[in-house]
Amino acid sequence: MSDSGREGPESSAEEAYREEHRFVDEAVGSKMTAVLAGDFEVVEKEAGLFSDAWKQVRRRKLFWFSAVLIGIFTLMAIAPALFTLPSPATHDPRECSLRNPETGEFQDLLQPSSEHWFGTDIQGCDYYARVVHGARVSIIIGIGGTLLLSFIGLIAGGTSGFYGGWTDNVISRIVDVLYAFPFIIAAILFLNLVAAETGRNAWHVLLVIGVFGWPTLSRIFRGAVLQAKEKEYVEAARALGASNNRILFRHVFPNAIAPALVFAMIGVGGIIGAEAALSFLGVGLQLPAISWGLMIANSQDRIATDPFLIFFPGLFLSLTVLGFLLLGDVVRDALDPRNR
Amino acid sequence: MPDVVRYTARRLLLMIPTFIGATFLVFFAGFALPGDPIAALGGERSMSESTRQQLIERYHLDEPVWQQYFRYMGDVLQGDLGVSILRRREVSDIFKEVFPRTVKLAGLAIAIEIVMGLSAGVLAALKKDKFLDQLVLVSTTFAVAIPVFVLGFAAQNIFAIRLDIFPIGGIQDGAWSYVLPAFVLATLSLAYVARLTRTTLSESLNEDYVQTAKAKGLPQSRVVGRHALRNALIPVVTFIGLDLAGLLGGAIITETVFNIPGVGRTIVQAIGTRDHAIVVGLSIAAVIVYLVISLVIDLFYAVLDPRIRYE
Amino acid sequence: MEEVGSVTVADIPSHQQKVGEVLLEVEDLSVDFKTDAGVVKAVQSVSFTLHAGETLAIIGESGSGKSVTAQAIMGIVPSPPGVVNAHAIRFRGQNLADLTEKDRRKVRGQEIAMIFQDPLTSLNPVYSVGKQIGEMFRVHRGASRKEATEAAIELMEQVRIPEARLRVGDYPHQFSGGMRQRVMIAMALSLDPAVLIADEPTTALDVTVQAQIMELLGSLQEEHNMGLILITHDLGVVASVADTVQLMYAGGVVEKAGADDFYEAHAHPYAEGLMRSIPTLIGEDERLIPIEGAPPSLIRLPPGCPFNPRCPYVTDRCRTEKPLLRSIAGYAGLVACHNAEDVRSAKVGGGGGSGE
Ligand SMILES: Nc1ncnc2c1ncn2[C@@H]1O[C@H](COP(=O)(O)OP(=O)(O)O)[C@@H](O)[C@H]1O
Ligand SMILES: [Mg+2]
Repeated sequence: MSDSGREGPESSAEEAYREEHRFVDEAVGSKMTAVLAGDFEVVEKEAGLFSDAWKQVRRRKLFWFSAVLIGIFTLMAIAPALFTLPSPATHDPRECSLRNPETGEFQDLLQPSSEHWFGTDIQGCDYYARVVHGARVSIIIGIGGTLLLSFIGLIAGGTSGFYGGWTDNVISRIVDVLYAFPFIIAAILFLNLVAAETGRNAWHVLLVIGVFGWPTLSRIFRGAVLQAKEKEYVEAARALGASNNRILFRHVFPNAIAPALVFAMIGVGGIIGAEAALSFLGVGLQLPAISWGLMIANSQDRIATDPFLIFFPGLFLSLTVLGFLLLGDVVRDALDPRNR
Repeated sequence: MPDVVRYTARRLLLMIPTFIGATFLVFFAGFALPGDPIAALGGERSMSESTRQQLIERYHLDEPVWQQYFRYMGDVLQGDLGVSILRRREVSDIFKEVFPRTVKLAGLAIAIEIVMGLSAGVLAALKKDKFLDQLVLVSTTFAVAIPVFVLGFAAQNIFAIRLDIFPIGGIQDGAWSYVLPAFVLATLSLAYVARLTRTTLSESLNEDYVQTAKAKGLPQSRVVGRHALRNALIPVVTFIGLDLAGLLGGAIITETVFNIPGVGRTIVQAIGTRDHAIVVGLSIAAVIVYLVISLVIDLFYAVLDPRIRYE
Repeated sequence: MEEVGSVTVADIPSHQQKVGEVLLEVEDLSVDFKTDAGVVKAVQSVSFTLHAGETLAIIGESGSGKSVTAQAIMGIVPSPPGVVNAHAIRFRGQNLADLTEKDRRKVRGQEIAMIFQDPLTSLNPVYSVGKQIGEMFRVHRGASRKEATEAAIELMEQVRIPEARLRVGDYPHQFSGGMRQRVMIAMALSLDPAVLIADEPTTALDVTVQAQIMELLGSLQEEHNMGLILITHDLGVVASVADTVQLMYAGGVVEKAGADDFYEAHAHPYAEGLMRSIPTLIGEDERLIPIEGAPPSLIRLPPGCPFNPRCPYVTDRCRTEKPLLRSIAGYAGLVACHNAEDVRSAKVGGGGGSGE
């Protein structure tokens, strides 16, 4: 068996670490995921695994707290106008002016005030409008990137775990290679390749995150599939002559999906952090795109004089990540059979 | 003993394809970076066609990528990481200069992780569901939610600018310069170590062998320390080791925020200046460091858990 | 049920001849677990006495509170969630609850030792067996590392582990199940305890090994004149080694008697059901007749007798009034059943012979 087939507590630590390494370098925060996600045992799905989980989740305050956070930022991504509406300043993040509108004289950036809630940035743009509009990129890349990496990871991990043999070996080796290749460096190198001439947009970042981000989910799912495969009901289905595909999709898949699901939920937060980190390093989104990571990068020299330039996007960013993190946490607790 | 040898040999064998795959990816991506490498070799001046031809021959740029790769890796295995034309220096020299800084930063961070993460995790596990436990859970969740660079700037603003305890960045103040960055770098892993320790320790406290230890009449400290914790630490130690391996490859973001010229920051800067030799050389060094340390961890793991040796 | 707290096995007339010194007296022991789902009444008002050289078998199906009883005697009930209440648990006349934790530790392991059901999970996987046995000498006797290892080897030889000197550095997973249990026994007996509690010592083992382990336990007990509490749900084992039998159901004791009396003439419907469900005891290929129904939830026990939902003799009284342990005419044991007389008379003579 390959080294990735080892079981026991070690694999969860390793997964955990790997996961960190994926999105993270030391950057973003979802390294807990694997212990969170990869750690629990696959049990036979009683009819109500998910509806039971829902019942349990519903009772927890933390769930509603995370749901509200995610709701707010998703809404902000879809309809930023709703949030800029009450602001007395301009609602257009790109309508910037370095002149004082009354006197017409040039002025430096403005500190937060009742007029400009979050102040203005060095180009004279209303910072509140910019920070609100920053949600879109984060949510798109967070959710889109997660969907993409889940898609790849589920196929790779599912095939690997279910069919075993050389398929498993090849996929496991690929996973090893990607692990040894630090995510941030990979992302930096490949983002530099992609669209070097045309400039990068959200889709490029999303693509690179998806392509390099799948191995952990693949490992988690592979492990879960291996466990589910051993269960009696799968043996039973096999004995009854069910086809491989039917077994995979009707019996194994639904029972193995829970840890991958939790991983993906927390992963959204991780990817949002990763996008911000890449943009911060100058290899993610580029101006004129509006992204929290970019805002922070462009405000670095102002840390001593105008820390609010870093504080506001940093706050929004952290709260968004926190929302997904907590959601994953709560759902994990609910799906973990040991907690029932 | 032969078990250990066999185990080591297997690990080493498994590492070969990983090593080739990862270094090839780096090599490929690094040299495919935009910018004309030959122009760079010539110092960005216009050059005659014959000079150009000679440069191509000298650096074997007419060969297929895989051939160039093996040639390059042959050099790497002899300690030669190539030459940066831009900086007019051997990349291995640059590595020798920047790597110790990364080692200091990562080493300090790991030490913080171990001391604070472990104690927090042990306390949380022993006081499960009590106030202290909740405190650890909540604070680790926040620690994880705040992206490192945001945390880094917050730390700079508070501890360097307002309180003026630490330098804001750079490495002029010797070891002291590394303290604040190390705390920032450690935060995420610290949170993780705390949570992992909490989980594994509270699980192992429920194991049968802990009941046995109690039934043997051992003092509580020995039951927890020698029996439960010893087992609980196996995954934690593995995690910390792999974390170290990753951080030594360059704590890119922390190094950037705090302006520490370590491996990570040098790579990022080299990408900016299109200095392919540095990007590839240092990245490959990082991959090698990572693989070597993870091998050591694997072997150490077998020391920690006797069951592994005889699988 | 409280008022029967003082009834002990010693009161049972037919008790065996070889009564030695009184080692252990458990009076009115109850253990609750406070869980999210409610309070689990794991053990309720259990009382018994154990003498030197005596083997007391505690039997009952899984979940009936046997292990928790043992944990309570050892003082290792996990707390929280566990809450132990007892009128007294006395070892050689000393109430253990009055001892400081430090003194209690001296009793635990040195005077009262315990072995567990699954020797694999009960041994620490990361230490060699020699180290785990030797730890007893290191901690309790302040022995040097070398002395401890020598002592461990000697003990391993005593429990008949072959090539003890060579294997003293091996890890638990390198031993077979039977050998592991021998290691557990060696560890438990290392400081020559007066009482040994064996919690299902053979359940996790191969049938062939079970007899060897029981035999080993028996001979060691005789050698050291130990009081042995043997917890099991294997009535076959009980028949051959026990002096006294205590039958538990849903946390309470429903019958206790001398082993021979119990095998000849048990009086509780649950005992009757159990005996019928043991084919090996009765003979060749008889069919196993399980007791119908499932044991009750320990969080919501049925009112009256906890066995009433499964009892073939159930009457209205059983549904309201909890039966207490009492003696009945013509039977040497004690039984907690309102209709014990009917159970006895319903039985056709010679329903269950002895296992030998
Ligand atoms: N640590 C614990 N927490 C909660 N309930 C427990 C705990 N230990 C035992 N119990 C409950 O106490 C009851 C008796 O358990 P036990 O004594 O182990 O049964 P057995 O007779 O099989 O040894 C069971 O219902 C079990 O669920
Ligand atoms: Mg038990």
